[in-house]
Amino acid sequence: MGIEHLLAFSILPEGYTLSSWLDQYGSMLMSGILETIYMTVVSTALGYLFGLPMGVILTVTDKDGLKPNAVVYKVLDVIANIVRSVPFLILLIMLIPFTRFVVGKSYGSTAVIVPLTIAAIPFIARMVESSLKEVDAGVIEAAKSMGASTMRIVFRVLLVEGRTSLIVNATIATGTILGYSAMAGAVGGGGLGAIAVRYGYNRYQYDIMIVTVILLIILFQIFQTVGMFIANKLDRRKTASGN
Amino acid sequence: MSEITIEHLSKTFLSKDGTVEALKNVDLSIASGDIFGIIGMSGAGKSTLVRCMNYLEIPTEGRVLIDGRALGDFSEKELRKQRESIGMIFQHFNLLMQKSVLDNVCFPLYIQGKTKAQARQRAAELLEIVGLSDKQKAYPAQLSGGHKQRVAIARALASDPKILLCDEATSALDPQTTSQILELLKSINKQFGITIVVITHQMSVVREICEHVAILSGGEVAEQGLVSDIFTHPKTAVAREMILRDSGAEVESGKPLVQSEIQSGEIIRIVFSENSAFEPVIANMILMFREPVNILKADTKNVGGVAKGEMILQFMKNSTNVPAMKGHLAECGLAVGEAPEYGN
Repeated sequence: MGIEHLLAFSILPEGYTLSSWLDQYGSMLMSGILETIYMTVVSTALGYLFGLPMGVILTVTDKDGLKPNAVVYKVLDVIANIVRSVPFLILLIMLIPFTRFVVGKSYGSTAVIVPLTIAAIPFIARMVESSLKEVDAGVIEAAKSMGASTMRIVFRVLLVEGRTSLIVNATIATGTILGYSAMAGAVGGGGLGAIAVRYGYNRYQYDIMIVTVILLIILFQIFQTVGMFIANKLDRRKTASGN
Repeated sequence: MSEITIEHLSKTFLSKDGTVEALKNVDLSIASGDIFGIIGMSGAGKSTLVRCMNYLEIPTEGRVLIDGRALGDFSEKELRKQRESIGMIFQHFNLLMQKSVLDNVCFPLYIQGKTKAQARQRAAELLEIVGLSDKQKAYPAQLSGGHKQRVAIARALASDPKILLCDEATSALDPQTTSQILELLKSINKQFGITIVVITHQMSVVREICEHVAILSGGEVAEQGLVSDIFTHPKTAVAREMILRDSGAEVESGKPLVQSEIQSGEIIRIVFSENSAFEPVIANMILMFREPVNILKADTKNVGGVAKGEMILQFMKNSTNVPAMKGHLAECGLAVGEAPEYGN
């Protein structure tokens, strides 16, 4: 054990060439990548479907918001805090009955989307809330002075002026959900995380574990780079001209 | 007829440290077509007062009437409708940074339910009025402060308002740009007959464009009336202080008001600090040399926390005493220098 194993990490197992190794594991890894992307993208999208309105409502009903409402704010605030304080792995297990009810089974990539989304919603809502609170109060005041309604201010001022920050935070959220999706592999999820656990942890096949980790890093980098590129591209606060 | 009437207006803010009375029993009446200044030091309550005029701040007591109708009686929807006829511009412009200049001006037009084509056409006309036709596609971050304020003015005019509220609209601008924006406001007032309310802490702004002024101090109106009356006969200490602080009161870039009779004599600049101000240096010099000098300008400036007096003196033509007089001033501890910018 020890040093020999560490050395084994960096090389293929005995008797394998790169092509024979890929023949044996390539398609499994490929479907792992696709499953991971599927879980991450769908969960993030569903997370925003519910988290974005929740974040908007948190912003609007806060005491300095457009329509302060202590009751609505407090209820959403407490829900967000409760869900966020449960560790994801525990949440995953706690939600098994619910997942089974929604999807029909409690394992596999599609099933994992349920707890991933539940965990993502309050996280995304908080991210949205913080992005929208960065929007300059003066611009909101100007919109009010022009007779804009609350709805118009939300859609034409808050979401537009907060755009860059919203996209940066969406990038962070996607990265976090990617990490959670890998964690779900431990309890019957699919994707690269499940492969890493199955081969690396249960069968000591470190070659596969290392490769899955590298693939996760690459995926993370791609999400991060694309997100930041879009955020930058859409930001008009730069002094240099060019559209 | 008066466009804006404010009756017994008070506004109290609740904070952790108790209550703050921002406005106390303010009465004002602003006539249609007037340019009305509201001046005061920071914390005098002027921003709160202007926000009561479109109910961005709801007064604790009293009424605000626009065209004889009390804003307090309006439903939220009616209030929004009313706000469309009250434009507002701000110290920090408050433009949408993610939207082009044209789209910024379109914003209020969309609120009025205009189509995209109608809004764009009207916005282009408005940008022409403020002299920014060539900047339609630019984003606010690419513009100077003066240009940003022009965009804000175009945006405020988009809904054809009858009133324009200016909250420290020139305070973030340099003096030259300030003059240009004030000129623009003046011409808008003339051209469209829009009543303009100007909130400022600078007497120079009031002097340049306002007809009437109210001086606000500690949330109360200390004095109000015609600018020219208050300027010549300030009745209260606050008014006198506001006028004294108006360092830009000289005519045209600091040139002396009256050309002296002793035209071609040598002109010097002397600077004295606090301690030398106790002695009547100039008077003593005149008595000593029995020769008049002409004081072209005298001013006191705060230089790094120390009051520095600056004086521009002109000696008599062909005076033989000039070197001796200069020597005397230097002996008294004054800095003596040339003043070529006052030369003739």
